[in-house]
Amino acid sequence: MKTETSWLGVLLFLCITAGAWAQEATNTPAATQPSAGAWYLRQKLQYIHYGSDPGPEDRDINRFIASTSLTYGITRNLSITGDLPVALSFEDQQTSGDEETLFGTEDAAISLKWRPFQWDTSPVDSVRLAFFGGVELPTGTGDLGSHSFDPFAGAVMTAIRGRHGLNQSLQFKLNTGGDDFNSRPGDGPSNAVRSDTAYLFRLSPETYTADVTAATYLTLELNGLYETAGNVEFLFGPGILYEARSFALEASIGVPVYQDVDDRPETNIVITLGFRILF
Amino acid sequence: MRLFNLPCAVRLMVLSLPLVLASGCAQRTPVVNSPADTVPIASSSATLIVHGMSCPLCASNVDKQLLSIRGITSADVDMGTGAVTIKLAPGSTVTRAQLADAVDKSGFTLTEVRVP
Repeated sequence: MKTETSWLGVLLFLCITAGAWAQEATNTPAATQPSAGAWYLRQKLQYIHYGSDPGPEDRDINRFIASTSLTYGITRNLSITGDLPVALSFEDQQTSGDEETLFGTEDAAISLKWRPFQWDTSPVDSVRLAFFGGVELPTGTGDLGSHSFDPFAGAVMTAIRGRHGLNQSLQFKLNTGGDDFNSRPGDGPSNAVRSDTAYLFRLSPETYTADVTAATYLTLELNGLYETAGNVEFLFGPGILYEARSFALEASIGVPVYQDVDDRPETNIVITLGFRILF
Repeated sequence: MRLFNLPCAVRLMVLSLPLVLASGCAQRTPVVNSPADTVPIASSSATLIVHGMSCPLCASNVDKQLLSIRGITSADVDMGTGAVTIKLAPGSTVTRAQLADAVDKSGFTLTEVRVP
């Protein structure tokens, strides 16, 4: 099935030509990490609606996912992260009229991030590049997991200039298992390539001073997914990020601006709330 | 519809790796590297100029690393100027080398240490 809006070309153009780049948005990796010996806890609560299921059950799915992510800074440029998503999924099988509720863990993941390049040109401005890689573990409950070890690797560039920031990430996941008609984008039997772009604009303060202890950012994200079976999905959405000295709060929304998906349900909307703590 | 030529993208990443590594290794120029830098600072305060502290949450990494050094009683970050002002306890044995190490561990770039 194919969904397309005229925004896509404009958004791609904006992302490619943005002259200045930054911090970490909700659904896009960044070349940032906690300092050596520090911990970083991130909790996200997501609501996702899936529809237009091509599978025999023609499911309409409302899913809530609570993802816990814990990162430890091993050195200034190397960190390790563990992710554990827990999902509650309400699935309306429109073919039979049955309703099913799924609850359990999705696939957990463990990964390393290594930042070999960092160029800090002023008190605020910075350009960084990091590589990351890891594996998704077969911890998913029933239909909430792929029941396979799925390695992934990628690179992310972060650039910050004044009030502007840009993160661009590209990653590849080798799916060694997975089910047809599964409802987790990027987690089916075919391999997956993700391209995540995030632009951040610091709404306040306009300039940093000695008194500033927090900042608020507008985020715009374009999250692309290509599955080697041929599925393509681009989600776009705004968000807000509030960062204090030891914690951050975030909220974002994502809607499809281009979707050409034939063998799994389409993503209709993603709403995310989250917080992060550095300790 | 193919948006990505995967083998081409992978080749590009692999080919760019040596350049990235070489560039990254060139970024960390130590501003503290003389024997005198291991001598305790004979002042009650010092100011470090740090680059790359682009957000409040990022900047707190510097506080945490500096305050973990025995003898530093406070650390105040001015993200606008990159100035991190520390107060030293009387009789502390904190050295410039320790300050540089702390900023290094925090993941940012130390450009200068000013001692009044």
